[in-house]
Amino acid sequence: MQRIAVIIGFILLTIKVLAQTDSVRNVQEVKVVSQRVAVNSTLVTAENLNQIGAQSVTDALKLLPSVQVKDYGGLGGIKSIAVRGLGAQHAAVAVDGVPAGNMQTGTVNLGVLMPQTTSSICVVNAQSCSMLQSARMLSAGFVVQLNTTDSVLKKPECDAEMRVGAFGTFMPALLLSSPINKHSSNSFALSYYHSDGDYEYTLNNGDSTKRLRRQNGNVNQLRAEWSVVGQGKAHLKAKVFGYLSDCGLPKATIFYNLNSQEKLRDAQLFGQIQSTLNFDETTACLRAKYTVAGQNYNNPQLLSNVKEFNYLQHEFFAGATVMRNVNKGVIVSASGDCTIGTLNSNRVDGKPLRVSLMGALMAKYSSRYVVVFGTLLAQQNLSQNESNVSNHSSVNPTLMLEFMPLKSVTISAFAKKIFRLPTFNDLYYNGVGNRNLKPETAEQYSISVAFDKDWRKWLIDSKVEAYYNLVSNKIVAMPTGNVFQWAMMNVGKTDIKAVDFSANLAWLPSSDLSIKIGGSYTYQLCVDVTSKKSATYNHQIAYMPRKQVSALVGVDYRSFMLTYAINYQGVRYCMNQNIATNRIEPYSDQTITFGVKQKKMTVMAEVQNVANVNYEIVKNYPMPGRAFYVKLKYIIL
Amino acid sequence: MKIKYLALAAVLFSFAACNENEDKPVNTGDADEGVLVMCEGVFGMNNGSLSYIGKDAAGASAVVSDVFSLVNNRGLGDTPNDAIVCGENVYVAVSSANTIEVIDAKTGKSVKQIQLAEGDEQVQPRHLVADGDYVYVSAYNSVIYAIDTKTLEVAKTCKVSGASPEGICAINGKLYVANSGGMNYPNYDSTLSIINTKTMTEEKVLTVGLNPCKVERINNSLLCVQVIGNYVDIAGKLVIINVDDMSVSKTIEISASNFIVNNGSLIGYATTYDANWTPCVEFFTTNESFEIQPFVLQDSSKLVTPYSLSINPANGNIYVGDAVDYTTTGALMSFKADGSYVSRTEGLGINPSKILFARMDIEKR
Repeated sequence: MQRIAVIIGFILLTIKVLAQTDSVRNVQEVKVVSQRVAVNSTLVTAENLNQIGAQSVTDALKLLPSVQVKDYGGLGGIKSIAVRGLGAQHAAVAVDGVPAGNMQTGTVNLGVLMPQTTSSICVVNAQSCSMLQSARMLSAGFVVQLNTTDSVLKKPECDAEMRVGAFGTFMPALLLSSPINKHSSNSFALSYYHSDGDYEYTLNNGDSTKRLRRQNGNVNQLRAEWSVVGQGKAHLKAKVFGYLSDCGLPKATIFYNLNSQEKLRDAQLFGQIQSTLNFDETTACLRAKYTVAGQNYNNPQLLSNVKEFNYLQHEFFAGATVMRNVNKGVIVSASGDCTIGTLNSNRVDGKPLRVSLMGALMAKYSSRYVVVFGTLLAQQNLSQNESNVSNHSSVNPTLMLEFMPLKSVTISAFAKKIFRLPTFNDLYYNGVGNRNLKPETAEQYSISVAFDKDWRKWLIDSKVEAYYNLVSNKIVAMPTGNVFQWAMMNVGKTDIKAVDFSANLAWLPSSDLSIKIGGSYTYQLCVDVTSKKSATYNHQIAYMPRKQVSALVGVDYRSFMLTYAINYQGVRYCMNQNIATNRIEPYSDQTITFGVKQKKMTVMAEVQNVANVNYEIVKNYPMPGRAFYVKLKYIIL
Repeated sequence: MKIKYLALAAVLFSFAACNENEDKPVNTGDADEGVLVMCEGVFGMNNGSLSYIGKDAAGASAVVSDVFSLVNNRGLGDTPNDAIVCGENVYVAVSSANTIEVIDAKTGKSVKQIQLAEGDEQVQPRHLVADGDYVYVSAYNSVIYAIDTKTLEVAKTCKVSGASPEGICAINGKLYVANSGGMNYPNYDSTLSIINTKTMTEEKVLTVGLNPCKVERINNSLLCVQVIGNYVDIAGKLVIINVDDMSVSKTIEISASNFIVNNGSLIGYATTYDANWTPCVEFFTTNESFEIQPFVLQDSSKLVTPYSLSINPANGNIYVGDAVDYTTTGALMSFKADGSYVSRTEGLGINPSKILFARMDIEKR
């Protein structure tokens, strides 16, 4: 707590040095039809989130090519994404440029953050091309950047928001922002989310079909955020975020035993600061973050003495990046990071501690026709608990190229080899952890051609991408002798070959009307190549569809907006063996939203899962059927 | 629809009685033509199954990977853990479903699904033993259930003092239940509960070693307990107990993964793991004074992950279920009594963990 006080003090002192631009609201209201980002990334704006009626920041990501959202159906559950066949543990997540982590599970729950204050989410393959990024952001297979506004306010603002609808959903939010001085402003946001989560679903067992209500799916979540933005000679962004969650954990629909009583309580608090300072040809960026996260799992139905599992994690992070314009078109930068994480739990042996030191050198050359971006990441990781120490160090180079033969055409390619470290659970979980685990490695090769054109009242962008990934030494849980004795092992190799195609077309015939059509198609062969002798050799791995299609149509006319979105997932298998009994049929999930925007008030009506399709993303975890929601946003100030 | 290849005018195997107290092997007819394998599936996947291996009209071996669903048009349930043949029925303890599924051994039709749990309660039935007019069920809620084989109702229950009861056997009107404590890892239990079946009360508790799991009757005065240890520094062993005076008659220092009783001696396999959890499997037998001898199975390299073991009383053939990688379809291997290779049948359910001998005549509903 003392540390937080120190950080806050520092923020208040620094604010006076900073300068300004325009309002949060004005930025968000700019109609972003097509926003140019680096070829290897996809940007989802606050407007996009609003369009599809997103309840969580991940809801919009399921429409992106080669992205899989893992969802156990529970409305308050953990939200994470896999990209290009790389699991959630291969992600580097940053909130306003500062890395976020979870050393226990390796998966950052993207659903923790507040959708109301999120101004954009960017999913980046391999790594971002930013020269000011933190070294840690280079250490993963893909990057998820969550950003809040960068603008400094000139006058106070106050918005109230309320979302109500199906399953007793009740989601009020209040956002307050005010200038501190000419160069800085701060904002405060508070939101609460309740849902009974008792949606209807169909349970199929042989020829019997039952309509039932999902049990134990209630959600109660409170989020609060205070952030400061300052701009001037230095740019500063700081945030304190708190999260409390008390949810039922709906279990798999086990035949003849649907009773479910597992509860999960979460508390998380983090404080972070990032400051960018400019001196002539040199820019420096300093970052620091402290996170404390507690979790309590309780299952009164467990037939063991211990029915409650507790986890408490602390993570300290500090890092700096210095960038310099060397020559015309040449920029170099160097970054150094230190992360220290600890875990204390009644389910994990010892008290695990990890210290990660990362250093990176980045160089970029850009000209009219070519961009060459190379990075060299060196890392030293030390993991230990009371009885074990394991060290891991490596140097990982990455090369990214862009070639622009025409103004509207970009050809780009990258090659990267990276790994994910075993998590604390992988290494030290009671009876399951394996201290001898090696990191899981991922090789990535990608090539893409993008076409972008603004022509009279038309905007077109399209992209074709082909990639090859090879994941080796996969960390998987395997039973050892009986179902109750599992261990983590480095078994498995997955070979991923895929093509993505995406295109967006926008027509802006007048200032009153805009029409957008977008779509993407993925064909992904993601097969197990562990052993030729295995029954799963060359079979598509579990939960990876070969085909994935999404489309979005949006019409804005004066103060009205209408959006239709569809997400189709092809045949999947719930196990690595592609046999009939493991088959999961394809499904489509469709959403329609309709909104009216007045000067002071915005009303959005949403229909989720329009066709009322009974589907499961994870086997035996049914998803909600058709659901109606209404969102009201009122500008008080 | 009549399934041709299974059309056997089944002279039903004649399990004369459920009473395991009789030493003579039960006559199952030419049961080599009918093997029923219970497969656990994968936890949480609702894919527990019964796989049947019989002969088709041409006499070739044929597999039905999920007889129960085929006949009953519903799933057996999640994680069946044990199955026995008693009288004309097969009893299956479906652990995650809290049920005992009673199935007609000839047709595969469900005779009754006995739900053991009431309300929010979790039972997790684990192992079964037949004795007299009852089938006894051990369950993780530390209750032993007595199911009347005539009414198929729970007739009596008995609370045991140990935790996570696993194996159960019956000798001379007493039940012997191994309290593993497996759910309380790493604080395993180490006791054997002795229950009087007449009064259904726990009469005595004997300490047998850390984490006892399987318990099998050898004869009217001996039983064998598989003690697993803690997988770390306390090794497993097999403990032979004389039930007349409840004394340890012999301790066999072997970390057996599984064993069965074969005419007064033991046969089993031990799986050892190195630091990276790479398994190494070795089969063994004992003589009648329980001295260990290695037992070589011909073509054992085809066997990846032994997961169950059984001897066909009709001809002495040895059957081994192969879980392969625990997530793909299982296999069944059979060997002659001398270890020579007979067959390997692929395409069973996932994790074949119990092998029964029954000849079925299956008709899809």
